[in-house]
Amino acid sequence: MQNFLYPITEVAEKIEKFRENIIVYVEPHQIKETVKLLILQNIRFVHLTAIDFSDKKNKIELNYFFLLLKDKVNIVLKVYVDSLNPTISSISDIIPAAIWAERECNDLFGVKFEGHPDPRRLVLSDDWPEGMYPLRKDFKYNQKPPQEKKPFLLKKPKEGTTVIPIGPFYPSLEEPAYFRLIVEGEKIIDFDYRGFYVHRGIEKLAESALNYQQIPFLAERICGICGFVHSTCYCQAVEKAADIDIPQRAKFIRSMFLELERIHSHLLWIGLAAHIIGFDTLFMQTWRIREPVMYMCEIITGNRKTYGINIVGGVIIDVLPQHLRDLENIISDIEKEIKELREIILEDDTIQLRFKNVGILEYKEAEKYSVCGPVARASGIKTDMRVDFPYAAYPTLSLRVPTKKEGDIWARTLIRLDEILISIGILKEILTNIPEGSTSVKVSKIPSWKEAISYVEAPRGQLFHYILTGPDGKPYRWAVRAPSYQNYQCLSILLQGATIADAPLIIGSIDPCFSCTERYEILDIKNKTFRIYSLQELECLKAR
Amino acid sequence: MLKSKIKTIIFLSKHKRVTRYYPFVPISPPENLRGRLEVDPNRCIGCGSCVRTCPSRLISIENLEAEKVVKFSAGRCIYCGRCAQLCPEKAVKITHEFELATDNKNDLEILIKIKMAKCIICGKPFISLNMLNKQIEKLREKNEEEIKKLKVCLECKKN
Repeated sequence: MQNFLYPITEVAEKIEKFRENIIVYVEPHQIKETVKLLILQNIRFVHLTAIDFSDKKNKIELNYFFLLLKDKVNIVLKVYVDSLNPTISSISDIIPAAIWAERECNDLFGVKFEGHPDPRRLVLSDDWPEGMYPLRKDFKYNQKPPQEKKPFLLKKPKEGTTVIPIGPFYPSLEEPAYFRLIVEGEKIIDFDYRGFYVHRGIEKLAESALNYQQIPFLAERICGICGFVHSTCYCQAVEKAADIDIPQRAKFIRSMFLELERIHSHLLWIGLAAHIIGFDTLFMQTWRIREPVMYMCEIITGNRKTYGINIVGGVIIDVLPQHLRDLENIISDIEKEIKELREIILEDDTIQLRFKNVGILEYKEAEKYSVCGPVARASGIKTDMRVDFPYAAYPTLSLRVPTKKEGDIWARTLIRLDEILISIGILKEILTNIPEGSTSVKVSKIPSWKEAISYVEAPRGQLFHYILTGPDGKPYRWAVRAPSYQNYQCLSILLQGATIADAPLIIGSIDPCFSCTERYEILDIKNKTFRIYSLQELECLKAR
Repeated sequence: MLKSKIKTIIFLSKHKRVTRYYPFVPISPPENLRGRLEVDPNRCIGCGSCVRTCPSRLISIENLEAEKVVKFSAGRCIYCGRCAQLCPEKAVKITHEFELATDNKNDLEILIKIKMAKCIICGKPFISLNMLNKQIEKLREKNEEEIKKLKVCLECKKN
């Protein structure tokens, strides 16, 4: 047993080790103690999710997922709470990264967290009736509960401050979210967020109506930009749970598309960031460079986006030799262009004036909020799931993890520019090393009650899928935590002290993906108490 | 400042217009594009393999008196092509047609009817005609007796 586990043995009931996971069973009243001991070991919070076992043992199982980067192990704390009165003390005051996850558990499972700093609704819409918990097993997936109108509890601004609402349709990223900036003059002093307007009930649908081979296509639709990471992560989780070994060629094809996706996603972000500061020439040019990548994906898979090639057991298409040749030409072309683009960005004073020393996230805060991806790397946290928990073809590929210490938007931009070039390097390696062979294996029955954790380094950061296989040919629980879900929570730190004009840029700089974060269900919210800024008004604000 | 702007101008001048004149000039889709579904009623044996595999759950099979009705509510289709891949008879085909915009969802619906064969003892329809013909074809010895055996439904076989 590893050294770091010694202190926990006193509070834990039972400790099991399974592959790279250490499962610790804890009594509900000991949870805070255990987390306090764990936090001394520099663990990172990943996710908190619940599994409803009320029909079997009258319990709800809470799973706290932690990650110990230096030992490369997952620590899963399992706590059983009574399903009739599920209460447990909150860990949000020790780990702020768990604020959203606890609110979500409260919404979807009805678990009450005592001492939670912000126990408002997160996921469920405001007209959802009290006492209905959609992810419990007694709730049917196609059930429509009666509406119950209630206003959403908004943060009360202090006297002398003004509230500037942005949304419910966020103008610069063109997605639904409602930000409230509480300002004193030009300075933002507090921030409130109401999102989850695109909650689609995906986890519930997968758990109740689909089988293992249908879910990859649903998983791919979680995100509109980086959907392939979700289907890969889901398939890897099921393959891990069922001990399926997929052919090497399938692994390489998966890695290839993951890298292509990273390239086009980062280029999209650079374009958007340029668009937010009004540098539309750069926006057009980055998106022009991005186009051949999308076109190449279309030629190989048939789709520009949402390739639909992942299934449990491999991929359903094969890459032809002429495709590989075309891809090689295209990536060497765009490599040249990206280098030119990089020079333009690096030397442009306007961009630097807008990006440097804006939206700073210190190393300490980044650790506290367990942020991931380019945001974490720009703040000095060296984390990349491709290196920490290598999956697909990454164990055989060489890659470098760029880090920066500044933690501002400029650092995030440089990291993303660097990552595009690294991805091109990885693609070249894949193209020369891709092995011959079949691309999928036949999957027979998937054993029940097996669990698995799978990570993928998405363009926006660490993506986490958890699966518990069920007895009837579908998962009993499938939990998804998108990278933006974690990165969102540090926005309050980033925005504090910034000016209103920088707010759209700061929000944009974490590359938020709304549909990833809010993987659930559509229900509308009516809130007319505050004046909503129009796009023109916001553009005026931005221009100032 | 000026230097980077000059660089930008040089960068821009290297590239011509990249947008295309679509829809005035039609474009040819790539080879692997998955477009509108096409179902061949003469090939379908009504096995239901597509029903089980469709991620959108849009295919349904209804058993009527003398025929099976296979319905593809393709307005909900995500064009994954799994039905075509797993169809044992290659009755479902993916075409390259992608301009499917319509104001009526039902335009995309595909309905096919497959005839059922009747049991020669009780007279109840029990198997699709295509499936029966396929089974007869597969027979090693094509004598009358063997063929007759296939034309009897499960219940009558038991008795």
